[in-house]
Amino acid sequence: MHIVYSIIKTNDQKSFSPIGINGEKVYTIVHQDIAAVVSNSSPLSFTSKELILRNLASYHVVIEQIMKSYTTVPMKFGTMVKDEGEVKKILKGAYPQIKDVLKAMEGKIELDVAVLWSDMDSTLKEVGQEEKIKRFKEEIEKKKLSKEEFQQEKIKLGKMVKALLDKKKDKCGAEIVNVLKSESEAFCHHDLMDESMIMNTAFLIYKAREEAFTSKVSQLDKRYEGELNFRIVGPLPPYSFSTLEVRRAKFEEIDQAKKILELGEEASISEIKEAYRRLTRRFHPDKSTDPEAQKRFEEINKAHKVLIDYCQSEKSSFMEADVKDFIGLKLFETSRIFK
Amino acid sequence: MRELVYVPVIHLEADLGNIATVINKRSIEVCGERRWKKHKQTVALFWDSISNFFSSIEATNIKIYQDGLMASGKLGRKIVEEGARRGSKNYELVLDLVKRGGEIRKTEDVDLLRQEYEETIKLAQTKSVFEKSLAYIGYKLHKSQLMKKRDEFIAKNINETLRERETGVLFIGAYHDVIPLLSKDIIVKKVKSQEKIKEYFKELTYGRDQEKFDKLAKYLASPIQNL
Repeated sequence: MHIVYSIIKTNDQKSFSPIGINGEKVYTIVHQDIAAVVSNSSPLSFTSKELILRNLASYHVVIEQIMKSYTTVPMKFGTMVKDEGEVKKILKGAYPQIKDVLKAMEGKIELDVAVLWSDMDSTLKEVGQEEKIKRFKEEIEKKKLSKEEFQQEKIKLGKMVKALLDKKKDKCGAEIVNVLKSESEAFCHHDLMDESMIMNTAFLIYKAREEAFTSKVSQLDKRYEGELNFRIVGPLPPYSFSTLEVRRAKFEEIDQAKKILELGEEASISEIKEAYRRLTRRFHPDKSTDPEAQKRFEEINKAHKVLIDYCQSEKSSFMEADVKDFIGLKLFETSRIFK
Repeated sequence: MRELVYVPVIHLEADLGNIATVINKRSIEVCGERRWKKHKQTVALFWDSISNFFSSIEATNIKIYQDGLMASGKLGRKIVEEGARRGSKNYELVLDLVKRGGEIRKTEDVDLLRQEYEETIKLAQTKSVFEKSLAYIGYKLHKSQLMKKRDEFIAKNINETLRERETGVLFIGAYHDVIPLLSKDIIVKKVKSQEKIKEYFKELTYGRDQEKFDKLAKYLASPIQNL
């Protein structure tokens, strides 16, 4: 088995030091002017949380070491393929797509910015001082409430505080993004981890603009001193913008989709799109009188997505042997680009 | 009377090998260089202080409950030996207790642990690098439903297997909350305060109060008083 870490732009068969998962040697498998960065491995067994984190750190070490010299597109953590032949098949099959992604990422790095309230308690106190909250508290005190009614009012108060806190958070977050987006090519919000966090965002920037970007963050840090804490993680390869994952096809799913779109044993992307347009016109729930229209419309949409994901080249075969043999690449679901 | 010695675990593997570069880099980005350096010293001193404490107590027949351990007997010992070989201070200490007559107990439910591995893989694949960095450092922001289930299982296990006049030791991550779920007749002796450890991690990763951080680090590194 091979672990695939990333795809880089090179036509060199390179061998790196043993920095891979489980201390394995890392090397490239080349197709034309692109290469997969891999190491050999027996199937990864995840027996403890600590081991997963160790392997994750090794994966980061490999990708971040190599990004120093090459334009790098990361592969999803834990990507494993059978052998060198399968790696070459992926590179060959997804060559145009990989070239596009590599081109889009050329000369760029990711910097992640996390922003946190410096002191959550003071922030909550500050929110508690707002006129609306003070008035609500006074009203509760004036009313003669039963224990249950008092609890209900307290829940209402909690919701009001949260809403105000969220508003404050959104305002600060928007101000910060507004300043930083001028220095970046794209950005991508990650989930906030808890109430004390106001922003957790990845920025795609030109390597040459790194200093200008970090200087903007320092300015923001000064502007919000005492109120917010800023953390920058990076430079990183574009994990949030271009991570790729291997995809394989299920024959039953493809066969079903092909039948729904009334296609033959092979089709091109434009033929799939044409079939989709024709059938959605016929079964659009707003236009069709067919009682099954809504159901058919949903099936057609799903089938279209399945086949578009599956088709990589001019013509794709839907024959069982070809579908089962298929291996391709797609952007991992967390990779998002906002231009 | 049943007694349980509670040891909140802080993970920091001594031998990081190749991955040290990335772990150090990320941790410095999150905590700052001074704090990260101090943290590494503090964790080493923390484990020294725990080891000194255990070297002075009788270990024969002591029951050992360990975070993440889903087997007892030979398999349990093998897992502990592997952990100790990797340089885990926690597992080194458990192994020492076993050699001195302590008994490893199956502490966790296999299915719940499997779910935890899946959650960790999901974190590794989908979460932000900042969140992954906190995972390397060992800081946990929010308590998951799964952790609650694990705590219930561990507490039930201890309640049912720790016998009258026996002493147990529970090595468990500081973000678990097992103690409130234990039977009332089990006397819990904490080697370190769980709350202070949580506060320490919050200050390490999020805070700016140097004095507070140093004070908490000093507490973590201090010798354990008689319980």
